[in-house]
Amino acid sequence: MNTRQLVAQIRSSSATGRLLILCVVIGALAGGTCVVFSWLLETVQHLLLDGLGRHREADPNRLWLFVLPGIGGLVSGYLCTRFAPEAAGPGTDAAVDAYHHHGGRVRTRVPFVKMVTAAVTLGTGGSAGREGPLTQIGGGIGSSSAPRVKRSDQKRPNPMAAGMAAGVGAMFHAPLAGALFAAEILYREMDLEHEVIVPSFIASIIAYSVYASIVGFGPVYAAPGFRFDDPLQLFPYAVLALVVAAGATVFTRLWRVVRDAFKRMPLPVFLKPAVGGLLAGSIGCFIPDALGTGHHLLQGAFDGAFTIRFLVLLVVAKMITTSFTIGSGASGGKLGPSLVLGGSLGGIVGLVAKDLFPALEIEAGAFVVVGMAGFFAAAANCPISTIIMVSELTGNYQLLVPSMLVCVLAYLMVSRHGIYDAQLPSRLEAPSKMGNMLGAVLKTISIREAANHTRDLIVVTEAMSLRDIIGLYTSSDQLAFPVVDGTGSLTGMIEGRDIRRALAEEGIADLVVARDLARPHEVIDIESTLLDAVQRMTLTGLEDLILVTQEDVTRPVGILEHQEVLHAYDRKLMEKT
Amino acid sequence: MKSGPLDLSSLFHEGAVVDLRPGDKEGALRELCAITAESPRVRDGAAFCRAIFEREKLVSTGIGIGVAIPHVKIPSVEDYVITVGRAAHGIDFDAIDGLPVRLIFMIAASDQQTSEFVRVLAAIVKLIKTPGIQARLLEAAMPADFCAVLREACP
Repeated sequence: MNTRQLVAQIRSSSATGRLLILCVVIGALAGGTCVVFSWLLETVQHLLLDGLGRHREADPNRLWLFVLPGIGGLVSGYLCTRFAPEAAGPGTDAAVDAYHHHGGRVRTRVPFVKMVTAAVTLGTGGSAGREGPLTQIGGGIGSSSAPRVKRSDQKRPNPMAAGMAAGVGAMFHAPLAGALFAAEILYREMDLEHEVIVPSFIASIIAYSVYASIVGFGPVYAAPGFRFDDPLQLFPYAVLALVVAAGATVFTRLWRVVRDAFKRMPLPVFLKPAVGGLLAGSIGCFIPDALGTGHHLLQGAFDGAFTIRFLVLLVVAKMITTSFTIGSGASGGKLGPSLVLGGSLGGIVGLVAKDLFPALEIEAGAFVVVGMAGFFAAAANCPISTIIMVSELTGNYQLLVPSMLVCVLAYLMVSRHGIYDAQLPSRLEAPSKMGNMLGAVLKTISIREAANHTRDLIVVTEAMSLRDIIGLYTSSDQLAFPVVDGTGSLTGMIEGRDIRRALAEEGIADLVVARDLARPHEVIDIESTLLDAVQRMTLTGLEDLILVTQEDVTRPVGILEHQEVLHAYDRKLMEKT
Repeated sequence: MKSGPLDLSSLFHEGAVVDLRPGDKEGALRELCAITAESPRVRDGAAFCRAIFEREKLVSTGIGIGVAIPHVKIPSVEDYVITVGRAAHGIDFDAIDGLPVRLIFMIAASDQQTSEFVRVLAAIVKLIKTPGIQARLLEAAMPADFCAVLREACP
C-alpha cells in the first residue's frame, strides 16, 4: 500500500466514523422523541378521545365523538398552516419528497410541529397512524442533526433516511424493519436504497434501545402460537393476497378521490382538516372503532374477538374515516390504518376459510397477521420491510412463509400504484443518483473510443479567412476546429457556434481570420475518459475539447465534440441493455 | 460590454479620436496603439501593441475603400476599446484594393468576448459603408463633431 492509498483509507475510515457517530446521535434523539410523542399522544387521547368521548367503552359519548375529530382537525390545520405547512398530511410523502428533491433537507421546526399536530389529530379521534408522522419527525431529526457535524449537503439524505428508520423502528418495536423500510419506501418498484441501510441500521438500533428502555421491550402485539405447518394453507393465503390487493386498491383510490375533492374545496387550508374531522366524526359517532389509530383493535383480531360482520363494517368505516382525516390534510400516517384494514380483511378471510376448510385447521388470527403485512406491502410498495415489520410487531416469525407469499402476490397485483405519491419508480429516476449513474457509464468510455476526428483531423491556421473557414465547416462533418500558428502549435479553437454567429454578419468574410474567431481552448489527454471530458466541458462551458497526447500538449491529435459524448453514451447504454 | 443588442455608439468617445501625423503604416499603428494603451481597460500596452502587429502580419486589416480596422482580442484587455485615427494624407496599408487608407478604427477586446467580437467588427464595416459617411468623418472639424457623426450613423 502506497502513501496515497494509506491517506485515502484513513480519510475514508474517518468519514465512516463520523457517519456512525452521527447515526448514534440521530438514533438517540429519535428514540427520545418517540417517547415524548407517545406520551403526548396517550395524554391527548386519554383526556379527549377516551375521556370525553369514552371511545372504547360500551356507552360512548356520541356527541363528543362527532365533534372531537373536527376540533382536532381545526387545531392541527391551524398549527400546520401557521408554523410548517409541510407538516400537514401523512408525513411519509413529505419525507420521501424531501429525500429525493430537497437534498434531504427538512426544516428544524417540522419535527416539533408534526409531533404536536399528529398527537392532536390522533388523540381527538382522527383516523390515521403514527408511522407517517414518525417518518417525518425522524427524518427531520436526521436532517437537522447533519449540519452540526459538518455533513455536506450531498451527504445529508443518508442521515435523513437514518432518522426515518429510527422513528419507525423505535415506535413499532421493529428495528430491522424500520431500517429496511427507510431504504424501501423511497421507490415504487422493487428497489432498495442500499446506501442508507447501514446508517439506518445503527440509528434504528439505538432509537429502539432508547425507546424500549423506557416503555418496555418486547413486541407491540401478542400473537404467539400461530404457525404455518400445512402447505395446503397456501391456497387460502393466496385468496387473502387477492383480497388485500383489492382492498389496498380501493383504499388508495378512495383516499385520492377524497384528497382531490378537499383540494378543490373553496375553503381556507387550515379549515379543511376540521371539515374532514367532522365528516370522520359523523361516522365515528356510530362506529367508534373507526376513529383513532385502531391500535387496540388488532389485538382483538388476533384473539378472535370479532365476527365477520363486525370486521366488514370496520373495513368500510375505517377506509372512509381515514380518507376523510388524511385526505383533508390532517396530520397522520397511513401505515396504522393500513395495518388495521389488512388485519380486518385477513380476519374475514381467515374466518371464512376456517368454516369452509376445517381440515386445514386454520387459525383466523394467523390470517390477521398475514393480512396486515399483505395490505401494507401492496399499498406502500414495500413488501420486504413489511414482512419483517409484521413479524417484529407481533413477535411471531412462524408466519414468514405465508407472509412472503401474500406480500409478494399482493404487491404484484396492485402493480405499483400505491398510497405514496412522492415515491419514485426506481433509483434510475432519482435526481440524486442521476450524476452517479451517468458518471459510472461515462467512466467506462475512453475519449479515443468516442472521438471520430482523430486520424482525419482538420486544423486551421491563424491566417485562414472566415470565408475559407465557412467553406471547411460546410464541406466537412467536423464541427469545431483547432487553430494553430505557423509552427503548428495550438493557439485556440473555433467552435461551430462561433462560425454560425459569424455567418449571420455581412461584410467581414475577408476581414476576419481564424485568429479573430478563435476562443481560448482546452486540451485533454486522448487517453482520458468521457467523465473527465464532461467535467472539463462543464467547468469551461466549451462544447468541444482538443485532444492531445501526454508527450506534446501543444499539438492537436483530435477533437472531441459534445455530440460525440452523447452518441458514445447512448451506444454504451444500448450495449448494456 | 454585456451581450444583447449591440450599442456601438457607446464605444466611441472624443478622447480616442486623433489626426495622425504623416507617416507609414507602422507609425500609424504605433501611434494608435499608444493611445489605446492609455485606457484602463488595457492592462498590458506592450502586449497589446505586439498582438496588433502580429495580427497585421497574418493578413492586412485594410478592408479597402480607404478604411482599415486593425483588431485583436487578448487576455490583457478587459473590455472593448476603440481608437480612431484620421489620415487626410492617406497611408499605404496593404489594403485589399491597394488604395491608401484615410480612416483607421483600432479595436481592442478581451479574449473572452468571442461571440460579440465579430458583431462589433461587422457593425463598424456596415457603418463605414454608409453612403457619404467617410467624407463627413474626414471633414469633421473637432473630435466631438467626429463622434457626433459616428453616433448619428450607428445602426
